[in-house]
Amino acid sequence: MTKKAKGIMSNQLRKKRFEKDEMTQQALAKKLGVTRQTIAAIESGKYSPSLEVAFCLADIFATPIDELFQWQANSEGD
Amino acid sequence: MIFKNSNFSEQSAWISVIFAIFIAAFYGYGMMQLEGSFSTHAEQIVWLWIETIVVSIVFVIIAFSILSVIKSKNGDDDELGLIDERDEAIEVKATLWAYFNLHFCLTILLVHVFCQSVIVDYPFFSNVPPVDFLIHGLMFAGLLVELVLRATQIYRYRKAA
Repeated sequence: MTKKAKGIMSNQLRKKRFEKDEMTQQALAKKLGVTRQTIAAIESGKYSPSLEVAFCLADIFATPIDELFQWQANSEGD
Repeated sequence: MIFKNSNFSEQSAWISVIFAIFIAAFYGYGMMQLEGSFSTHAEQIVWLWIETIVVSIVFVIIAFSILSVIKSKNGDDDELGLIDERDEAIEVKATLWAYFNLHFCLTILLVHVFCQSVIVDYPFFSNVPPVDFLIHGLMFAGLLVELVLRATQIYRYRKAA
């Protein structure tokens, strides 16, 4: 039986960005090699980045990945 | 403005949507002017294809030149052509819908040609020979696939993923 992951992913990207000298979305996008719209989509929780991008973000903000991204699993179907 | 707050891939998708509508109108108008069928006036249809291809190339060159000029004026030309993982994910989802659409169009075309040949008094497009229906149908199916592909991309971009 396969179990489909269901839950809500949240992140502290905006907070971390402001803590890091109020870094702009554009500056962060340039560092990551993605578009500014992708950063905006990640921040608003509408897009979940790949592990590579998530680790790069953790690297840029020098913070553990679980401090940057949080996962709240749905209790239904457990 | 449709280009506001959008990246290069989304802007390209908008251009492609306009392109598909424009070329469909151009080809449709050219088709109305055709006389006879493919078997009797094949050269007219071939010329229409050539004209459509030339107009398509000119349209794409002009549209993307304007886009690059606008982007360099706004100072965000370093993002030109940048495609990231989100763009790729959106393209994959859109391609799936375009594939379904292509499958549907081909099925309709083949079912129509089959029905036309076996059913007496078949009511749809009875005055259009099957070869002509296939030729024009394939052209419109291609444009519809492009339209569905880009429209799905735009929908996904607007939805954010």
